[in-house]
Amino acid sequence: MTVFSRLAAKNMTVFVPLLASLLFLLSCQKQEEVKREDQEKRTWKLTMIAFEELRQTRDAEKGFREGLAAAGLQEVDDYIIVKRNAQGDNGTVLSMIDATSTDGTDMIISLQTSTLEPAVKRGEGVPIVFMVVANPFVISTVGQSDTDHLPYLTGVYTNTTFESMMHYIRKVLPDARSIGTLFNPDERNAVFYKNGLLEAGANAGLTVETYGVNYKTSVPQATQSLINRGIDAICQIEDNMTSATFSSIMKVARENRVPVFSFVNEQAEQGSIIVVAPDYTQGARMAASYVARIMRGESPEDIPLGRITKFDHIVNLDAAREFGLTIPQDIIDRADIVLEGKE
Amino acid sequence: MISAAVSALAQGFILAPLALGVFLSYRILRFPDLTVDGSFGTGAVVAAALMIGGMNPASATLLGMIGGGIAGLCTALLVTRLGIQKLLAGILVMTALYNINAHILGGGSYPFIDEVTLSTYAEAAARALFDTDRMLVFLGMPFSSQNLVWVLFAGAVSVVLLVLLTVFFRTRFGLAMRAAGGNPSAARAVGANVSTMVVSTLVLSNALAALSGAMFAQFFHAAAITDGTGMLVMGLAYVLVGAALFGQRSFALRLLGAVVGTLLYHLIIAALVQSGEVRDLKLVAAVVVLLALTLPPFVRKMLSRRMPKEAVR
Repeated sequence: MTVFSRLAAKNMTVFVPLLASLLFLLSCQKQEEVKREDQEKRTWKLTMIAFEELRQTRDAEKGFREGLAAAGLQEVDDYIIVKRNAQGDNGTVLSMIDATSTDGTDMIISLQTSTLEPAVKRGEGVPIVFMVVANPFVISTVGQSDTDHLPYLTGVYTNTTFESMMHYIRKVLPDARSIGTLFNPDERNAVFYKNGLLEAGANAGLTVETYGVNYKTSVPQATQSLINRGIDAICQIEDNMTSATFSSIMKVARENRVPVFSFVNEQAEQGSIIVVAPDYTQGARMAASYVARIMRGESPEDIPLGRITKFDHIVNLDAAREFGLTIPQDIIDRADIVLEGKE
Repeated sequence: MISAAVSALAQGFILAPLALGVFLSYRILRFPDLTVDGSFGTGAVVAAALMIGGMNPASATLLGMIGGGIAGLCTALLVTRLGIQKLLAGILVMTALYNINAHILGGGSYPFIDEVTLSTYAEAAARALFDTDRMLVFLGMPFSSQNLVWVLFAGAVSVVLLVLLTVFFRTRFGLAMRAAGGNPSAARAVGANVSTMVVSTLVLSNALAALSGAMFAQFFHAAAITDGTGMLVMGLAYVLVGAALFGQRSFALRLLGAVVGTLLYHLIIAALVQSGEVRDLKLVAAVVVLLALTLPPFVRKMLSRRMPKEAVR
């Protein structure tokens, strides 16, 4: 009895903690399974917040829905998308971001830098997946690199394409010495793109003249001032301000017979000779695949930030003719879209 | 330099109706009506939506103007029927118009590409008048032929508006409007319906702001719901610069002052833009208003000190 008691006591000191640990692990595994089942079964509320509706945001929404479908997710069963548009108002963006903490949002889908910034400032909460952003690192708290970023955030951003544009400008205007761009100094993206253009221009042996303008009514006069500096072409970077006033930039450029190159799809229809525009649909499909991974239990922290890799190369032959320029055949052959014969 | 001046004059004349509208609310009703920040945009987006639908630009511009008038009517009804303070009523309607304008336009902004607008007419007119829709040269300096057409067109609109308003404010109804704003009790005592006068002034004021908005969008080849943001401050700058130049003279001259103030303001801005990058135009606008408010009394005071007492007598 004494021996048995001693053995039992000795074994109990080993078995009880072992048994308890085993039970704990099993329960954890079970809880994890239940959690995973919950995540798989529940309908996720994805709140998509755009700063303002542009062609880029419309393309992104289309690609995002396609991407979710491609990931095997069904609308209504697996997710619902609640669209919010701040209509260009910073205060409205903040209210929309704040509302996500109480309205049952499971994930914020942030479109444009002006939406990402307040979402990041708001801090940890629901996961954030961003797209239609030029460079998320202009927001210092986002992180250091594609893999070293905030734990509750991931997304897709735009690569710059200035090198290929410099190549085109060099081929179309071999004697060109300087190009110019307007930019809105109040938009972080615009400053980022402007600096990128300055660097790419220097690498291509072109002087880049820049003109900061942040008020719509000054755009025509600013364009004229830029042209008066003797530039050979306008190479207009993308920002919200100049995208909204591109028609008036184009008007002044036409009057002065200065050709325009740019980075927004629809600007080709407005008279830009060559457009190299990021394919926001592709970027949004990538972002949708990240959303699917998060919905299946992966942490945003483990998903590296992605970059758009596909760009639309658009050539407007009518515009080239209007400015008395000839587009080399190899550029036409490489173009995804060639505009010609518009009445 | 001429190019910048012509562009500034075109913008000035396009925004002259806004200045006249702000003049009416600020000088007659004695309050800065914030509705114009919304109604300016209403003019732009209503005209844009109609032109996108295929309407000719002249009719679309007129209907945009009516849209602005309706916005002014809303503010006026809040003031006269619900007894809401004028400033607050303006803020309420302006805030609501932001979203209404977005719904009318179907988005934040819309660039005109294929639509026929007043700019299309300006191009055709430039070709007909000057044989080119590009640059003209004067004293060796190039400037836009289309902008010159806009100066002529919007300038003519401004002259017509000045004449019509001058004549209107000499009529019995117009005089009653002025009286109702200046001294409502006295106006009531002589049988004028002050509420009707407030409604009429705000409708007219916002219709004029919307006319500017409709032309502004067509001049810039794009309409945006943010077009009206800050327009009240700009309008006040125009009116106060005009007042600083023309002083407290006849009603007609004060109206003319608002238009001249608009042109001068845009010439100043154009000169600044020509001299280099100007990032702080709204700050400049605020400083111009401040100077227009403080300089004339200061100059008068200095002059009266320098003049001999006999001359002052």
